[in-house]
Amino acid sequence: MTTSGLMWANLWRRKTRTVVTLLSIFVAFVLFAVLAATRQAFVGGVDLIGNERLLTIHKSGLIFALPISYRNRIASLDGVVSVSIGVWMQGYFQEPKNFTPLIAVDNDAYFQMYREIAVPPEQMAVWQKERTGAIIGKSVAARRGWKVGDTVPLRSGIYRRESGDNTWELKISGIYDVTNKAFDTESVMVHFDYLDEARTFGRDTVGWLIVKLKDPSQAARVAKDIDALFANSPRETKTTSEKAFAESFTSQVGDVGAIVTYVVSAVLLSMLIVIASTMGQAVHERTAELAVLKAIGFSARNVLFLVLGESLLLTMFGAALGLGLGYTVCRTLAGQLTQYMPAFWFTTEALLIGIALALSLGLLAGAWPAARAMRMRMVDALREA
Amino acid sequence: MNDSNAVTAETLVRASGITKTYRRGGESINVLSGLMLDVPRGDFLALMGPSGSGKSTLLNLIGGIDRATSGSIEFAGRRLEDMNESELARWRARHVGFIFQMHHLLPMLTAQDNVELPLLLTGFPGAERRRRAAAALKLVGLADRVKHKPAELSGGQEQRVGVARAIVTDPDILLCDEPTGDLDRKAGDAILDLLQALNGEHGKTIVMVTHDPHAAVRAKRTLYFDQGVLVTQAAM
Ligand SMILES: Nc1ncnc2c1ncn2[C@@H]1O[C@H](COP(=O)(O)OP(=O)(O)OP(=O)(O)O)[C@@H](O)[C@H]1O
Ligand SMILES: [Mg+2]
Repeated sequence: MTTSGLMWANLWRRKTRTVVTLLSIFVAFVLFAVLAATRQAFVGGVDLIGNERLLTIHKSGLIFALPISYRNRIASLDGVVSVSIGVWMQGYFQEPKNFTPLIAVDNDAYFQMYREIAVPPEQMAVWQKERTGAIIGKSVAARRGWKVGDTVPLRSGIYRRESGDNTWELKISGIYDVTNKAFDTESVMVHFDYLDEARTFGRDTVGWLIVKLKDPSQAARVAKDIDALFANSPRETKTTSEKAFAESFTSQVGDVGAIVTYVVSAVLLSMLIVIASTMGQAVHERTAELAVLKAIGFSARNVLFLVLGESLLLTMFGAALGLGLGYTVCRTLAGQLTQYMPAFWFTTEALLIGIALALSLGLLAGAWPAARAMRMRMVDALREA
Repeated sequence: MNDSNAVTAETLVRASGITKTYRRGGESINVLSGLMLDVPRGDFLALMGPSGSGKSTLLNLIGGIDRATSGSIEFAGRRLEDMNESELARWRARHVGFIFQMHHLLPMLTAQDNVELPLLLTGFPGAERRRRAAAALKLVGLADRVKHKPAELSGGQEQRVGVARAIVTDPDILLCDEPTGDLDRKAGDAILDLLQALNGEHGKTIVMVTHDPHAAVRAKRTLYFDQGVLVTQAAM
């Protein structure tokens, strides 16, 4: 017999009640894991983005183009290391539902800019020589079964060729992987020149410019300089850090992060009530026994720990099962959702938060019953029994 | 019975001028009023009296689980009223063994584990706790029932587990509140045999509250409650 053995035995006093309470804690924490992974899918990547890059877009929004000449003008500014460009082509394979991010970029400048995107050097060399070449993400390659050397037709929801066709034949030159979870392996990158020569409108324009900074602490000053450069021109710009851009983008998705937080809070609050009521009943039923424990020498603090410990044991046990299954569920879902939510993942950070929440839940729910047990007067309790 | 013995022996418990007043609503009930009691070490004292006369109240005061309204209780020279709650708890764990009418065993624990409970408060390692609990159960004649849960024991056996739990820490005094009150004559006699042996052979000081004259005769002496004080002769 040990103190923890006593807590454990107490816990199973009412098997049905304990099992029901455990089940609700379990379900709550499975839900917690899935919601945490969902939140991660929407906002998680943002935290991983560095602040050494700026993004310049049209002042009126991403759908308006900017002249490609802006690239050189920005490059000449003080504090700028290099500038790259991107054009969003709204790609898909065969049907629009097979959405595939298709981006036209300026050759290897883009990959110099994004060190987080890794392409084997020999594939990179091939791509630079192939006019219709494409670098595709590892997940795209895996999903479609595409290999280096294959020629694939991707369609664009925006750009048609002069022939009137919106199909762009692409030869796969390389496959990229990423070294940072903020990036996904879902995109297809093609040469800007290939797009620009063949498209029917928008020649010599780009969707956005990426600016590499010499010194991240200069970000605000450089961003202001860039926007000042094009102020009062027909195409004014808006420059933000890549991170701020990602944040504003996710907040447009309906602030999923906040919604998830509200749902989790509501679930935890009801758990608090469930556990507190279970522990309250347990202490109530056991008043006489607790009085006997006190009579044989258990101090008020011993009794407090006994009840708190039982509450913690109950909560942590349910939470451990829930987080365990939640992790497995998230892993399975992540595999299936990778195309739509590449950042869907139950992170270590979320796991630690879950453990911390379970701890606080157990302590909080046990606090009042424990205090009651501690204050209970032995003589009254023994008299009533 | 043997008063000459009490005169020479060391006094273990000395209650002097004990008053206990309960306040309920506007009126106050005087349960004990200026009660005096000396219990020498090695005594086996029976306390008798009508229901509501304050027997349990006095036992609780001696055992330090309740506090007197006024007066003093000394235990081996230490004044209980000078101790705070946690000191009192530690003192109970070391010196007092309680035996209740309702044995109050924990139903989900085996006899062995129930008896081990008070030892959780000591520094003994697990093996030593098990050894002592087994010895206490053997002493009360339940060596073959250690793995049984209270529901699997008879009332008399449950009470014997209660006795084992009370003696496992080797306390100086056993306080018994109607220990045979819930038992039939045969099971009650077995408990009384046990108490007599604990007193006679193991030197335990015992104070036992009882309604049963048949139980009281097993004690060395009997005191009666009369209007909040103790007398040697029942007021008829
Ligand atoms: N917490 C309390 N509040 C008010 N009155 C109390 C309280 N505890 C005990 N009393 C009163 O004190 C008196 C003595 O009670 P006590 O339990 O000591 O009697 P007793 O001699 O043990 O009786 P019994 O033989 O029935 O067990 C009773 O009148 C009882 O109602
Ligand atoms: Mg009584």
